[in-house]
Amino acid sequence: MPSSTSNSNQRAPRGHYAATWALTLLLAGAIFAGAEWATRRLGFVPSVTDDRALWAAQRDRLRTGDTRNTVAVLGTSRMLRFQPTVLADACPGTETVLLGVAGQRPLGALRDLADDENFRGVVIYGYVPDTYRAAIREDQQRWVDFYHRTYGHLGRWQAAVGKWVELELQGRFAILNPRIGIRYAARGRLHRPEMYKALQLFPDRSRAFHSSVAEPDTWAKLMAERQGSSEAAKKKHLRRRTRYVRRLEAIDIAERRVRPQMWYDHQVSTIRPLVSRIQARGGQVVLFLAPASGPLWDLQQRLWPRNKYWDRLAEATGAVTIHFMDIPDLRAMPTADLVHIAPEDAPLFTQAIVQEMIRLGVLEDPNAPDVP
Amino acid sequence: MLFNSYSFILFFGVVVALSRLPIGWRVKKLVLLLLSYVFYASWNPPFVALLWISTVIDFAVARWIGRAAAPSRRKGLLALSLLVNLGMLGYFKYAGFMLANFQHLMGSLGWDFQPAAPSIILPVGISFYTFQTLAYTIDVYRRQTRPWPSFLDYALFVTFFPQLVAGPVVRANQFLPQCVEPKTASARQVSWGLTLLVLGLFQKMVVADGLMAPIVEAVYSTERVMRTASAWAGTVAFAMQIYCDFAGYSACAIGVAMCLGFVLPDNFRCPYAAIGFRDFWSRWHITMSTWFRDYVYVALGGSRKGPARTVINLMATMLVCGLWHGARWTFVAWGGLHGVFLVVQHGLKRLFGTPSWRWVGVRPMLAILTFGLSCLARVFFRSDGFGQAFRMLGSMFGYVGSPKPQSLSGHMLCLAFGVAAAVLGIHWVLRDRSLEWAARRTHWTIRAAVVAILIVLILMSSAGEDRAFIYFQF
Repeated sequence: MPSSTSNSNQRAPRGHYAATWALTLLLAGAIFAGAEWATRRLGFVPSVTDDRALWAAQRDRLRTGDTRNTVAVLGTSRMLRFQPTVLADACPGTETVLLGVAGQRPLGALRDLADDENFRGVVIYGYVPDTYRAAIREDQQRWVDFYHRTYGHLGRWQAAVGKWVELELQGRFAILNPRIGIRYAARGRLHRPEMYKALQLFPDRSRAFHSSVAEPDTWAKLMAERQGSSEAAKKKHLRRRTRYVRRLEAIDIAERRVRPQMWYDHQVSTIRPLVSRIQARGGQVVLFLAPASGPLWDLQQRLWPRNKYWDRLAEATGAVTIHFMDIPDLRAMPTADLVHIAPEDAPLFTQAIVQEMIRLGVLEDPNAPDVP
Repeated sequence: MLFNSYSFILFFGVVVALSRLPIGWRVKKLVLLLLSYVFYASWNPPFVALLWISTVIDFAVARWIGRAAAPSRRKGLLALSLLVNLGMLGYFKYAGFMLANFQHLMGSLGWDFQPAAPSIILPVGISFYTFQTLAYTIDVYRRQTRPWPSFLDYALFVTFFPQLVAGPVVRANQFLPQCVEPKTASARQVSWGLTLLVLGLFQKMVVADGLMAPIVEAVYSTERVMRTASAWAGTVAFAMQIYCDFAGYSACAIGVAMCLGFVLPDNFRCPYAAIGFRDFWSRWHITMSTWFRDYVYVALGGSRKGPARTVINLMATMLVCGLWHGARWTFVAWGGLHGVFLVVQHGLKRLFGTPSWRWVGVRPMLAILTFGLSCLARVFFRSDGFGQAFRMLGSMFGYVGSPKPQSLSGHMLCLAFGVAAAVLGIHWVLRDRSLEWAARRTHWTIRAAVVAILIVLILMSSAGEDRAFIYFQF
């Protein structure tokens, strides 16, 4: 056996170096092109990976420059339906930075923006009634920590360059769509390609069903697929959803019974100083309650009566508040899985929020007459 | 900067281009040193200062030791080097651990000691470069090597970016002589270096992160009790994940260094084909295990002071080895188990001598037994605490103890055991040979086709969550 100080250097194969690598690159190109062709034939479109690195790249846009005409959208997956192009059309010159994270409560991100002296823009804070439960309220802090860790000092150029190359490649090749990556294969998820074929994520973290692939009612089909086609699968899905609602109810009732006033005081005392700091720099914070329906909305109304909580929140925190029930377009918007609107409704969803913010004076009205 | 990142590919391109410029050898080494600092600073620039401290102190101490004649002065200088290196390592890696244990001890004595939680960031690679610099000073003290005259060469030895953050733990007498003569990588070196880089990335990105990590996370990131098959699958998958992760890193490091004309020692040699744990440690993380052998086991007396001391020395070495991996008692338990395995093997050898196996089937069965026992130890390595470790071991031996144990999907079970069988098979075939042996026996067109497929699979796995190498945390 070779000694411990042995190495690969002297044992390496000899000869045909240039030919080997020329053939390697040729074959790799051919295999890649073939896989790309096959992937597109299956209906997949290019889409980028939504991970903490992409979140950090978006967050970094707020670090420098003039942020007064910037809207930072915080929240959970419900807020990821926000369409930057709609805002840009309605308010030219206004940029959107999407910082929502699916399933993660956004308090950490709000604190981060409050701490950032450069941020002077508008925050739309996707309010989730149970945000203040101790177990989950700091969910997004991990994203914030990742940003500061990777974008500190020299790490910035490295992270930015790496992500830029990745986005450039993923934006061009469907075979690099994360929905068909090796990790999905490991989880055995390749057998349901229809579900996400047309779901496209863009480098600014906005998402949509790809127009050339998506058919009408894609969202409804996706939900049906997720629930399963058989009766047994549908019943199973319903049971799971009911269990989820009951569990949520049990947790919240338990917390409320213990110390409801403390719960409310805590949420106000946490948000209020953050709002004040952003406002002191000329920024604004909008607390937005997104559409919900079915048993989950019934539960929210029962556990968090509007007059007792929501209506007091604006005064207590100093933020602007927008409740979806106050806006006809949002009130009428269906949420097939109780909390998420259909991607097809995303433009209308964004339009409704933007118009309400213009009405409330949070955003400038581009059609307003110039005041001399 | 990770080998498995696009930014590293760009960085590496720049380094290779600069290394081939028609400039003086001394300037090339200086450029390589500066780029190595840039590479390290991309994590956390202030920690470059620690590298400088370690470099300057050990270079100077080694020179003073070389000049000193009095044994007491030589010992004092060695103690200074040990104090600085182990002091830095102890503070950054073990301060929190020691404080928590002290707090626990005080609590058990009835004193409610509540210190402020230390906020210490572990500098990447500190365990590796302190071992390199320590080995140099100790070798000079033992007169096994002479103090190196060039500070530039020595700084490059400590900082050389391919091996800086996770090894291989290179010895001074392996690296420093390579700095004397001007060198440019030959076509053979570049070709094989790139092949090793592709192979390492494939191991890391496709097998470790792509295929095995989801299975390991599904088993070890839950509080629920797993069924027996799932617990074994998760543990076997972790054995594959950590091997492919670390061996992948080592292959990348060796390949990158080779593209620059430098030679780094092998770090893995088909460890899952090992027969017995003495054999295992001559194949797994070779540069670290030989470090512990030379500077801990031998320093304690090795096997020269009788059977009882040999057992104590073996156990002590493996416990320290466990603690080196991380400031957690589960790592110590992992090292302790390996120590027990080595002691038992040592005892069997004393009793029965070295057997000559007549039946050909015995050797593979012993290899599988060795792998199985190493998997049991891995449970402690992977678990967050003893509670999870014992729960997992219980599941692996059928003591599920829960009315609703969780189970992996059939797909994941097949994948875990399938990949394990493939890796074990490859290791067995290459057990007494090498990868280069296999490459030499393969037609160049087949080699090209295999590498092309690996490149495409790497590209398909490249997107996603930033996944550092597991050994970076050590």
